[in-house]
Amino acid sequence: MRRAIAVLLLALACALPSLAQTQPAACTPKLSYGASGNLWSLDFLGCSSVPAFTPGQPITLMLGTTKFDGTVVKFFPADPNNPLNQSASVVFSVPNNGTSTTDPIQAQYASNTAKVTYDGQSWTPALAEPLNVRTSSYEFGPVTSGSTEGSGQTNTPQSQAFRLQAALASSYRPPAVQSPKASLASRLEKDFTLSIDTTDQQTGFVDDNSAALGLYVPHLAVKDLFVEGRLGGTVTYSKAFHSDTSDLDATAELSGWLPILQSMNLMSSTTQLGSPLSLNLQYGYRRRSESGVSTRGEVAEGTAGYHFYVLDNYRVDLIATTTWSTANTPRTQHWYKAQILYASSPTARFNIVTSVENGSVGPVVQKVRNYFIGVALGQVFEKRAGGNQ
Amino acid sequence: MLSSQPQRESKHVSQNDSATNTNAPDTIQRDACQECLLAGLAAIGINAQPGDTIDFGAIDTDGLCATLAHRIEACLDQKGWLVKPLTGSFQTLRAQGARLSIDSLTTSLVQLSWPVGGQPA
Repeated sequence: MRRAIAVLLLALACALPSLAQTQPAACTPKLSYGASGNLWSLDFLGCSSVPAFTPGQPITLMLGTTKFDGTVVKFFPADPNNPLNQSASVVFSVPNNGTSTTDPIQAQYASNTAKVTYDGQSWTPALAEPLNVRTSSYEFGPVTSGSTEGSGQTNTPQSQAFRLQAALASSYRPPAVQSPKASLASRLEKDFTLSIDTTDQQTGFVDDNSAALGLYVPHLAVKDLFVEGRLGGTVTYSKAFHSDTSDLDATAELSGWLPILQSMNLMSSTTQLGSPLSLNLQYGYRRRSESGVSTRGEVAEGTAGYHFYVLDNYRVDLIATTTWSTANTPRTQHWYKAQILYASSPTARFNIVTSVENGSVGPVVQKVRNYFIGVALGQVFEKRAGGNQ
Repeated sequence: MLSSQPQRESKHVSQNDSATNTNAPDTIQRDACQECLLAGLAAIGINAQPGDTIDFGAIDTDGLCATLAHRIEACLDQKGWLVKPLTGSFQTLRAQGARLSIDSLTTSLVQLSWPVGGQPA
């Protein structure tokens, strides 16, 4: 218990300097294309010095090495009262029969960089829908296992640990609006993910680390039943750091959202909605290696995610996974995680207050119960082409 | 029954579009924006009603924000309205964890849209 308090204090001490400093928002322009009218929008996120664009004036868009001549349609100054126009933005049209024979939307998906030039000034915006998306995140903090009273009494050797969660993902994502002439390869989504979820303890805590490659057909829908679905295959290698247990899976995968199960609002005066129930189903084959012995068998896994609201100011995010494999002993693993978030007012954002995790997950089939409470040093950022010249 | 990626939406505007109806144009524009907003949300699985609040922090991915934006843009185009491309704006709201009512989102869309062939206000 004393150790947990000391760790929390240390974490707070590390976090306070960054909280005390007021960091100026970085100028990060972002480029979006519209589904109609050959329109593009350059949003000047966090930018303080933005010229007043004049409608009718020429503007140049460079996507990769392809140049397009456009025309300014409208300049929207920043409007703090309009949530869709918080930053200044310029809307311009880029006809696809201009100086290049290449469709500008296809050109965007063939490049990761863009440059917009107007009246001698240039900007290098991030792409709102880039061809390649790279994301990374990490969290590090104390975690308690076993006894909920903090008495330290538990069946495991240690009741507290430091938990590291890190994730790296790289994804080729085909456009939601597709040209009829697009090739089959350009319609497929290709994903690579690397995930680390481990602690400094040998036993009693989660130790689920994996790398995965996937190939999918995205944007599938069945009216009123299934939206933004994805169908494909995945190869995953999972390994525990504190043991020699590992799994190699090759599975078919179907995932998407089910509108039939909308976010619930319990004891609330307002109806708040987020994404509905999400579902991910996999079935295939597993090769497990444990203590030098390899076992082969079938594997099936289902993961569901759901949001619901309580008393207007609380949101609960649930995610649960059940895995069944003839290569495992026992054959079935269950795991769930619940995050409780709180918002101080009807307009404030929800922030994580506590996280509860229970079950067994990953190649080490061991029942763990973790409570991740309080300050967690985390940073989520996306790496895309961007910046201001 | 099983639909794949949507094709590029047509840029042709019908002669009978709502933008050329001279009866209560502000109301017509607002109705079009709200209808398209609700249709866009339905496309990402959120079946909202006019009095609901959307929690952008609970929209699971940035890709859903892009789909939401393009559905709204295509829907307004079919009704005779153009709108500022919205993908970046919705992704910003998701990153902020913003919670906004359907009414306020509709007002925002009205302010950022203009009739096809007309000049933005």
